[in-house]
Amino acid sequence: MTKFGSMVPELLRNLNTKPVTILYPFEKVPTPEGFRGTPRLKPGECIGCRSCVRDCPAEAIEIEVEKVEAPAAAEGQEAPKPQKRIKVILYLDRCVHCARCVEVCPKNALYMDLEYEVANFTRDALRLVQE
Amino acid sequence: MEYLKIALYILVFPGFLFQSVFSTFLEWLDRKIYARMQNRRGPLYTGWNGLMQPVADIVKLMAKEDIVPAQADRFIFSLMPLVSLAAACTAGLYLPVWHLTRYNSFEGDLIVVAYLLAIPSFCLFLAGWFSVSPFSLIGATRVLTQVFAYEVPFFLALLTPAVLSGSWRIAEIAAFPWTSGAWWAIPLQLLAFAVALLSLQAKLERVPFDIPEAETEVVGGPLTEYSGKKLALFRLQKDILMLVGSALIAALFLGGFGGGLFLGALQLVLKTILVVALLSLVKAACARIRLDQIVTFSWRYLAPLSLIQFFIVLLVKGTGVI
Repeated sequence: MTKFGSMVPELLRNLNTKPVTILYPFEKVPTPEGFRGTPRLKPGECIGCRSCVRDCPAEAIEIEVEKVEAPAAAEGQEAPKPQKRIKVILYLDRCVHCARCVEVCPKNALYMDLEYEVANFTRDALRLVQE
Repeated sequence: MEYLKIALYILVFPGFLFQSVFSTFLEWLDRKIYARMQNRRGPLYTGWNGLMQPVADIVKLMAKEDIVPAQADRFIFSLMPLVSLAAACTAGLYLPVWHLTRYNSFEGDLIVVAYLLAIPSFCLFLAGWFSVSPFSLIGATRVLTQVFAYEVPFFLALLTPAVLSGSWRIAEIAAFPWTSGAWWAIPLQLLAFAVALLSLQAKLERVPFDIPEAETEVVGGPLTEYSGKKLALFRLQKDILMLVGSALIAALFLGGFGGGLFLGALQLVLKTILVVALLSLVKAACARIRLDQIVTFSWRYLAPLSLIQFFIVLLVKGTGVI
């Protein structure tokens, strides 16, 4: 058994120190290095290979590839190739923030940002469409 | 005019209004000091630094549904919060502040206050007993067991300043250092002061003497079945009991509240705050002890200590210094 009243000096010292409580919605805890927030797409880098879709453990990524008709070729020039329009749809309600998609992306088109306050009222608001 | 004065005395200062306002402030202070000692912040959002939090708690409880268990004795169940609140408030009327009349100061009022301060504990016991719930019953028996442990040291501790000043009148005991100039009487009674402080802590059922409402074992103890307005009254009673008990200790052991209305009221506030801060320190420094440990502690340490103090005072009195 510790001595009776042995905690008193520490208690009195505590009166003069800063509280450890962080007033969360007003003060934020700084995110540590390598923090895995929300996956984001660098615009125009995705080639639509679907590696991330295959590897995602939570099945939270969908990729839609649309073919865009090339404009008509100008006189005497080669016709431009038909372009692809790639839509990456991320379901934040299913995402487990494991950053596996970032690791497997061959073009490094995905990265994790520091956003962690993703709670919302509707499921639709958690459907992130990035192009 | 006389009746108006009495009405003011009972309703405003130091009656119900002052008691309820100041006691909620004391509860805030207690929670704040307790939190700061544990490196927390304490109440924060209601009013300046959470100052209105105890009031908000009571108002919220007032608005909640009030349920009386089907098996409970309806009359006593409803009566007990009122009786205990009334007893605590009435005890507060005998504090030696402002003008003293024959209604609020007479020879022997110390005994009256000590008995009035004992009533809330018995009300708590009856409230738990007539709730007819296992948790309430266990809590109620614990309350009663604890009463027999701390009440005797408390009375013995209150006896010491009475013997020293040779009066049973709180006002005279409080005025004793002022009239006789014997300010050394305050350090002389340090032992009795400590015993009274710990007994008051037990009376208020705060840590380490909170076994009757040990929430991990018996939910809310005697108050398990209480809700709504009745629980709010019990909370207010506990706050007022803390105020009156602390102010009584301040009056008896810390030199009272002499020096006119304003200086007296200021001293009342400051000295009561000091006692409450000490109570918070005890609360923060200890963990809950078992019922048998409370009884052993009271009878093995508190009661002999107060007796030793009593004999010291008798010796001093016998030498004829005073």
